[in-house]
Amino acid sequence: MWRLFRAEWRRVLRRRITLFTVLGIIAATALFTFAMFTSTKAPTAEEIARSEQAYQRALDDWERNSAEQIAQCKQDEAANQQMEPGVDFNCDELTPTKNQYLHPQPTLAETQAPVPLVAGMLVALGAVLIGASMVGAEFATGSIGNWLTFEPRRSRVYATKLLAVALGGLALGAVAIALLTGGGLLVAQLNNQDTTVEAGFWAHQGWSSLRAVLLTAVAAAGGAALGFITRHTAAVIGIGIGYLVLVESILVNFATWLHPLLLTGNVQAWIQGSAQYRYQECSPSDTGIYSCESMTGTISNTHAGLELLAVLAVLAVAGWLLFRRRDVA
Amino acid sequence: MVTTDSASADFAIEARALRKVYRTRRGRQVAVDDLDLLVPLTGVHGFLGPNGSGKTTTIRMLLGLIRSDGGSMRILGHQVPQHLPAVINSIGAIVEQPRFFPNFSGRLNLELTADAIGVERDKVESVLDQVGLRDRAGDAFRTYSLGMKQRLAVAGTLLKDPQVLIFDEPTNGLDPAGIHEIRETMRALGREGRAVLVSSHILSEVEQVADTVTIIGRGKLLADGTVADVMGHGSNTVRVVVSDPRRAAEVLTASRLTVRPSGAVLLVDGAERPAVISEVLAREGLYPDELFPVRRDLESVFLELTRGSGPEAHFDGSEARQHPSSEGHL
Ligand SMILES: Nc1ncnc2c1ncn2[C@@H]1O[C@H](COP(=O)(O)OP(=O)(O)OP(=O)(O)O)[C@@H](O)[C@H]1O
Ligand SMILES: [Mg+2]
Repeated sequence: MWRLFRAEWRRVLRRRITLFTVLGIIAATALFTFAMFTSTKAPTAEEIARSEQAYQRALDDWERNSAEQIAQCKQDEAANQQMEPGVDFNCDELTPTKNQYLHPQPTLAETQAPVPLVAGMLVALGAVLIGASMVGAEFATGSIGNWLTFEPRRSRVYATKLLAVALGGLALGAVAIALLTGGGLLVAQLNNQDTTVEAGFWAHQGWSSLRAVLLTAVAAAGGAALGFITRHTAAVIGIGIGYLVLVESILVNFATWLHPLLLTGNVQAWIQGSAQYRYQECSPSDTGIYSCESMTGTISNTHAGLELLAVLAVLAVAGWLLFRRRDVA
Repeated sequence: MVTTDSASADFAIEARALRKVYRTRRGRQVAVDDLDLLVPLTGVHGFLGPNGSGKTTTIRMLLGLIRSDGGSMRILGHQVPQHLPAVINSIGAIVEQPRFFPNFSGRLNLELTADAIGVERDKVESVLDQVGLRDRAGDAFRTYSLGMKQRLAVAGTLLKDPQVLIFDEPTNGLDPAGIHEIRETMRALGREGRAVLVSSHILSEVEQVADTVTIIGRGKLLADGTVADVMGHGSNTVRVVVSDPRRAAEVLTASRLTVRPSGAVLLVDGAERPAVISEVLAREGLYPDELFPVRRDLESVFLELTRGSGPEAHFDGSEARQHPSSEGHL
């Protein structure tokens, strides 16, 4: 089993799609780091002066017209409240503030917070593709049949392939997060960002990152299992796109109970700790008018973990049963 | 791993009443039907049949790639596919075209295989040498010519030092030199005391390399035995041209010889030597103008046996159609 795994792992490393995915991830992290760099530049003296002027002008204007503007705001608010009770236009907070004219430089904590999610989501997509194509290519070229004449124990063949791509997904996720974290620290240095973080920030980031790399491993194994089920890389890609379009964008509008089950929300909740989703709950009111209420739901980390695990388990078992039963021609 | 059924094997491959039915859009298709295949422990065994007669299907079943729908199979005494893992390291097989990972070099492909079966990497270089592929071993498999692919596949089987070799139409698409080379390889392997099962639809090929042969048509066994036996079936037929065929036939039949008139010519079976016939005829004052033994080659045996079992598929609906009888079954 170990020998077989080593051979599969070596194959994962030597495949061209692995190389392309690594290059793609490097390019994406470079781009992301560059974006961090431009968005965290400290404002220049000229920018500060210009924003100061603009702020003063707005303040002067406010002092002259505030009463009128507040009245107008309240009137609009009242009009809207008839249609949607409880709407708040925040008419007491219209005074201009300095931050509206000079965006404060983001802190390191702010730029680093999304790293596990961004890296996890991005690498997970690549990992599904690596897993699916590794298996799909074998069926397309028929080399799986040749492989089975050397190792006919299909369960072993199946397990080692899934494990090898899972390890690949894990490694890719770890590399992506390491690159983004390193890049972020470098940017903070270059741009003199505020690097003070709340207590426990790095620990939280660490756990998020760990969950993100687990996700990328699961994504790769899931992709490989789908590859065994469909036997075609293209079919796996089709299923992925079909799911996103049909379920996540269309079906969910008719079946709101799907919201907490959607993969994207659960991935987010898994990596970040929890995730919110919004939906409309519509029903006829007392007056008989059909009205909708905006609702928010929360997906917990545990819920997300269990759901993702369940999805992987279903795919892995289905792929295993099918591969054991079906003819390899 | 398996001890119960590995004790002693009478055959390298022993398949009995093998059956495979494919479910296709057009219905169920019987690809292999009640087939017995017995491959001796040493020597080259030819597996002959026209296109679509079920050779590849049979080989795939033996290797556990596809499921059989009936019958039993043993390789070196081990029941397969159940106990295939116990014998797989004694089996080298090439099914249809050699299929390796196309973007990997020949060497890497063999190294991965060697890793998987726990063979030292050194062995890879030596088998590459053996098949004469060392110069091109670094090139991607997809850039190989058919002959090179075939040789790489042979190298792959040699990694295991197998007791049983299964080659499915190994000379398909090769030039004469390549064909010669593969044939020599098979002969040599057979002489070394290994069992080689080679499928083919080319008669001359099997006749040249095989010691024993199984002939199938439409998934059914038509004949098997040693090549000499299968060819010997009717080999002492003698063609007799005589001026009075009718009387000659009477005379010969009276001497307990089988006579089949064919125009002015008589085909006489059952004579130990052609001289017996001239003797019998001479006694009655008949003198044959021509008299020579008809040496049947595998080609004619094959054509006779497989008549009506061409490549066209036969589905359940057409099952009533007459199949050639297995009278040649020895
Ligand atoms: N995967 C499959 N699905 C359905 N039918 C199949 C499949 N594979 C083979 N067959 C059918 O089974 C029959 C036997 O095919 P097989 O490939 O075993 O023949 P063969 O003797 O190897 O022929 P050839 O000399 O052309 O290689 C054919 O009629 C073929 O069409
Ligand atoms: Mg074939």
